[in-house]
Amino acid sequence: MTDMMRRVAVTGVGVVSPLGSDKNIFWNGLLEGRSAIEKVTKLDPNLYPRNLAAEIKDWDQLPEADDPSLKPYGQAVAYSVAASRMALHDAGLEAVTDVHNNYDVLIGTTMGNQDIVERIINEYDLSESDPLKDIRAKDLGHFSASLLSTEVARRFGFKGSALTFVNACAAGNYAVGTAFDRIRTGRSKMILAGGADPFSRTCYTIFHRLNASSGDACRPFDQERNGMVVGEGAAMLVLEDYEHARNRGANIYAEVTGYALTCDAYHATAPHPEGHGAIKAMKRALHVAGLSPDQIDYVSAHGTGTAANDQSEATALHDVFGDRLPLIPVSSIKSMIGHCMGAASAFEAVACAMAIHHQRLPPTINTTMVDSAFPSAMDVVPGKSRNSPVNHVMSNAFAFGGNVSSIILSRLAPDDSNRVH
Amino acid sequence: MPFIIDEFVFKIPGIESPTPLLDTIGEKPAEKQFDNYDANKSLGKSRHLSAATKLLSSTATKLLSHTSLQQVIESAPARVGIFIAENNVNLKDDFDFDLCAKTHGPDHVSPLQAPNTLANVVGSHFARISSIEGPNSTVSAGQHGVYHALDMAELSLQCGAIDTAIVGAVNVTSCYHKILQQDQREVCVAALLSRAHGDAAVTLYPPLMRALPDIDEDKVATLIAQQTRKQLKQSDVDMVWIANGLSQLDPGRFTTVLTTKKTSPCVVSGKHLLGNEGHCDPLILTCLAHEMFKEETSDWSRLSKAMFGPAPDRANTIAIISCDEHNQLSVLIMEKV
Repeated sequence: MTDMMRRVAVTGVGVVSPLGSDKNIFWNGLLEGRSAIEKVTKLDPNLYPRNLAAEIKDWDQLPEADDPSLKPYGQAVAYSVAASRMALHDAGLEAVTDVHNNYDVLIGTTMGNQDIVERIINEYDLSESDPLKDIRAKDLGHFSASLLSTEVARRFGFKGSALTFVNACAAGNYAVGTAFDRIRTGRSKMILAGGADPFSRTCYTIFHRLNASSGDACRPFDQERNGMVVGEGAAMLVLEDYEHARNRGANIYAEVTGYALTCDAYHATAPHPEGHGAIKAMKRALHVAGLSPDQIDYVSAHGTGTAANDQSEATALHDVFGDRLPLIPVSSIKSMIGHCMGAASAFEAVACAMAIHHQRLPPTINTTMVDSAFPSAMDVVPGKSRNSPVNHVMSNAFAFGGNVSSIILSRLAPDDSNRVH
Repeated sequence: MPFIIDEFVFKIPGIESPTPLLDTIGEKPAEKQFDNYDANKSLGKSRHLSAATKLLSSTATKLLSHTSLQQVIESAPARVGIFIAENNVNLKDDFDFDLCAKTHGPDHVSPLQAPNTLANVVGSHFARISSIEGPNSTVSAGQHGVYHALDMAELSLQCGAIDTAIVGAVNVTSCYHKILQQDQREVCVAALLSRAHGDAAVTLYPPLMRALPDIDEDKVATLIAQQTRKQLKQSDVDMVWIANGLSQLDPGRFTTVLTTKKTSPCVVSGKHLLGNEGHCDPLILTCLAHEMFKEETSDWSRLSKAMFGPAPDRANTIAIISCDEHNQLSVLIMEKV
């Protein structure tokens, strides 16, 4: 069956990112090791002892900010629409002309339209003693997470499936992975896949109450790491049937070649300490891609900077890559853009596609000493980006609930090299 | 690739598996909400779990008594996947959490309530208590979530990621759901799926999900016929069951169109059967059709109160459909083999 599967190409990317809402600004920011993390402005910083955030700063400069038709929707919808527009433009697809297309939209999110709840609470001045007042159905009607995908599909003329994954911080990978399955089995020719999460009081408070947030910096895999930083944004990728992309002369960043989803089945908010689910996901993704661990040139880690996540992931990486792990660059862009929740792994998929395209690896910033408690040394690409041959990359994403995902992106085979951007 | 239902379970207030689903049709439950989501205490300590988590987990746990599922979980826990369709399951939890944070400050919110603000924790909790380590996916697609969950399950079976899938749908209500005029019946249904094999009695085909420029009876009938030709190699089905979409489709007119096009002579309205329309209904109707197909002599006239067109003497094919105000249409075809 595998031999009959279609190939899946990445032909466009778009981001609304804390580093800037443009793929080149985003990528160059990563390469420069620029941090988008500052003191939170969208909440009262005095309420939170650890008050850092990676917020979107250039939203007002995007056309979607002035689009009245987006106003009733949650910010996740607006971010998704903006990132989708950029991804389609990047893919040379400003307008989808085939009105009978079967193109899908798959978007992952953690909090979805939680900001609708917060907007209602604020605007209606709700309280615990008066939690309802006269909330209008049309205001609350924009809560459903399904609107992220249906609105993007409607606005850009995508007539196939419109689906939102609510698989928390792994949701972006779920979207990319499922898109890979849908295209390779012939269900769809083209899919807009990615993730979106805006800033919300609830999300920020969750990590505060779980003592998972850092007060000074996100230092993935560092001995002195003390937590993650909440980020926000959206990242979308255009994934296409390879022949479909070739026939329209599309530029191709990379191919998606493997993915896997597993579940730790361990704890509601903590990863399995030995990374059982992660090990299974990475091995299964390698199997789907037909690769061995020693063919992976770079790992984009989940790398949140929390004690539990990084220990679990480092242990799982060592199990999969063995003694070769110190030779494989493993970086976490969350050190620069924070943890953007459902968008996080979509940003990381974009970064992986760009790494393959540019043959250059983004760094992990703030990490000066990899935790000696890990079972192996790790090359976290500390501080500075570097040139490196990149043929196959793996990107991990883990979520509350024990939802685990790994995807693999690969460089086009040499005979297709003239089609690389 | 066709797939099959090995087993299904359900819970509605006052009635639950193993009562036949058909016996619940026409029953008007005294209550629409559960007094206790886990009356049998199958979940152990569950005080901090959300309503949706308790209802889904306590229902799906009934599947664990199925012999083949137990064997697969014990021998290869990563070969079982869970696919949940949700629609605003965390709405009240989100309000409660944020109202507390706003009113009392962030330090006063219980961290134990944090998971309840996330929709995926519903299926993940069931995975944890049942030690299922395969794909665990929660999808939000309004009235079409069940079709997407079935589609993801089928994709995972087809691509060899798993051998067994659990597809579930859960609906809980609250004062906020009431404002949304969302289905006020609390219900949960979960089905155990696997690849179709030679001696399967009933098969399901991968669902179709599409957006149409606008929804009308003619366009929907055309799409059903196209899908039927593609999957069954014939142009008609014996019945079309409408799970959701009576705001878009008039069942009488739809029956006329389907009959004229020779697509189907009979339409069954899920709303007339179940009393309302909700996002769980496509899975409830799929399981009901499965249950009736498996009877030696299916008495389709038992659905007469919801039937438009003549009740068929025999029926071997059913298309279950949903459509909505976003012009989304989903079609699932089932066949008695």
